[in-house]
Amino acid sequence: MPFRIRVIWKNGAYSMNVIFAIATGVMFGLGVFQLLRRDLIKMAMGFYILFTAINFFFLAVGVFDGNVPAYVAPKDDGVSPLYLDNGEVIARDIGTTDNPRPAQPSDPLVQALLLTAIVISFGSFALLLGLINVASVRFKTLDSDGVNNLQA
Amino acid sequence: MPNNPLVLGPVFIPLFFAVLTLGVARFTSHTNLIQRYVALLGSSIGMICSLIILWQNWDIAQANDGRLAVQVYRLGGWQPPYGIILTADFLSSIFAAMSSMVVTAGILYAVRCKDRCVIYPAFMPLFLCMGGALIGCFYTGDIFTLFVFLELMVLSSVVLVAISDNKLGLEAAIKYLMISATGTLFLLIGIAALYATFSTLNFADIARLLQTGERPLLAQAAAVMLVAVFMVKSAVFPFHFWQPDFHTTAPTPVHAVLSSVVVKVGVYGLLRVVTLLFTEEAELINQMLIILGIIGIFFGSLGALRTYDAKRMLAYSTFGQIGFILLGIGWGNPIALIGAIVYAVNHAFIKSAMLMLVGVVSSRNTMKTAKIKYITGAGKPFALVGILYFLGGMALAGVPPLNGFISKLALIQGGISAQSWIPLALSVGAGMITLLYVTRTYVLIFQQIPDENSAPLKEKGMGDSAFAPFLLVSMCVLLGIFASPLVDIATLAVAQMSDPLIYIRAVLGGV
Repeated sequence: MPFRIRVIWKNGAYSMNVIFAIATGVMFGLGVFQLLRRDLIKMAMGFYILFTAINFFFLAVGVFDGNVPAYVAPKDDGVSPLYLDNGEVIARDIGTTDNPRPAQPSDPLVQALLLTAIVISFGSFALLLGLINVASVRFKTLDSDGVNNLQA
Repeated sequence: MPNNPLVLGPVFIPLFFAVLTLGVARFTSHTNLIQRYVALLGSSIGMICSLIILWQNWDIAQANDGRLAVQVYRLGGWQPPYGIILTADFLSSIFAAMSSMVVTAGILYAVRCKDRCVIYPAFMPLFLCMGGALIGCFYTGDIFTLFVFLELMVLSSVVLVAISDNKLGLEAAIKYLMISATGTLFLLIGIAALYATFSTLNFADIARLLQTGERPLLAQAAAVMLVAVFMVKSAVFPFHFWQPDFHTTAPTPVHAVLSSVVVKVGVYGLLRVVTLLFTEEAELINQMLIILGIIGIFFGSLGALRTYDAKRMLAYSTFGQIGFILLGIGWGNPIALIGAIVYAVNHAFIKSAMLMLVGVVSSRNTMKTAKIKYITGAGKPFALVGILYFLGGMALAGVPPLNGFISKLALIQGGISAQSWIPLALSVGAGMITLLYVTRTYVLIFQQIPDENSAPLKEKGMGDSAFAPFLLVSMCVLLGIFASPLVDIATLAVAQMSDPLIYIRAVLGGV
């Protein structure tokens, strides 16, 4: 592995965290901005972007802690983690041989929760678009001022 | 604590029957009457399960100790805090029994409902989904499952309103979906923040870790998010604007369920946040709830007073009554909490009965409207409906022999023992407004002679049946005359809620 890539890889967890934080913030801002637009379709898009931003936040909660896979078949081929006799795991390709870092898998629960959240976001988004589709037929417009028959 | 599989019943039997009714719909006539009866059967079985759970809790409390009366079911057999858990302590089982009864009454009303939307094949499955998810929200002991059930409830209620006979239903559904789905997004942020802090999703485990006094900034942010979400769900003052539109445009059976029990999800959530999770921040949250409750009482009651649509008036009235419940939570002493729980249960029965009675009257005119201008005197031929509406209205206003009086009395006693005199005086004064708008609509709809503005009535036998509201009103009268069982159960619930350790020990076991 070339030197530069190796340095980024070694600090990968930290740099990815920063990138993720920026991405989450930008998407949250974009989502809120779009959510406040007049056009209903753009509003729905904003809702979805907002949901994705929150999914990113959820992902960032537990996904960058790990440096080894959650489960690897125990074999000593130099790539997969090395298992010591007392059950402790040492990641080979993260630290150096002289200074091994304790291996820690990422939290798999976050990913499971995230899948559920993505499905729910997709469902709500599809339902919202369906309702907006019917509204566009009924009101002949998608401007939120036009879709405004509800008055006390 | 042994597994009790019965806890699955009220949640998953309606969901199972939702699938079943979807299948039945294809093989029956275009009125789908068989489908409606199958849905009624499913909902009734769920209701019986939830009542049995409440009775089992009561039985344990009588035989041993109220502290042990917590039924749990661990899905998949994982020991908490891992895995999903359904927990039915007294608070959950009271709310679940109440909502399953009201949902069953709503389906009973829908069986004999003449609305066009009721014959859609998807109506009953969605109704059952909403009911099952609602009870799931009450029983779940896992915060992410709460999110899933909330979303299921929101999505099914949105579709139910969008297919309403009222043309404005679609617009209200879009607005509600935007507001409510954005609200649940913030619940998701709160869950992520809690998970980042404590690496657990189980209510009991979160509460145990919060008990240790550890308060990272993210956990405080999560508290704010949770309170905000539950306030959106129960239409508390700054987040109330969707509620009258959304509830008014719903079909009558759906309106009865939405306006009486679905808004109680927020109340239940706030009770859990204040008494189980963030007990140290409870002081601050409670002060806010008192102020918002007072604003809600005035806003809702005055809004109901100046609204000239009977359904919309009752929707505004819900907004005011939720204010009373928040006041009880905000005072926070045991008597006030008993008052809040009793108030929540009684309000659910009263409000659903009254909405159904308005629906019975408004379904008998050709315009199907509930605008008082058009239905003035429309209820005059139906003496029984008038009497039931009068009883319901008096219960809502809190007149002695009925259950509304019990709940108001319990709440006022809580206010006296909290010695918070100004909110008490304001709430009692605003309670008088209830009497005003209820009497006004009663006189206008059931006493006056119809004038030329009124919509013409349909032929005889073309309206909805008044059987379901009759059952609900008799429930109101029973709970007024024999009030002690409900108050006793609420007392046991508050005794359980007074110490978060009871819940934590029941779920996690051990010390």
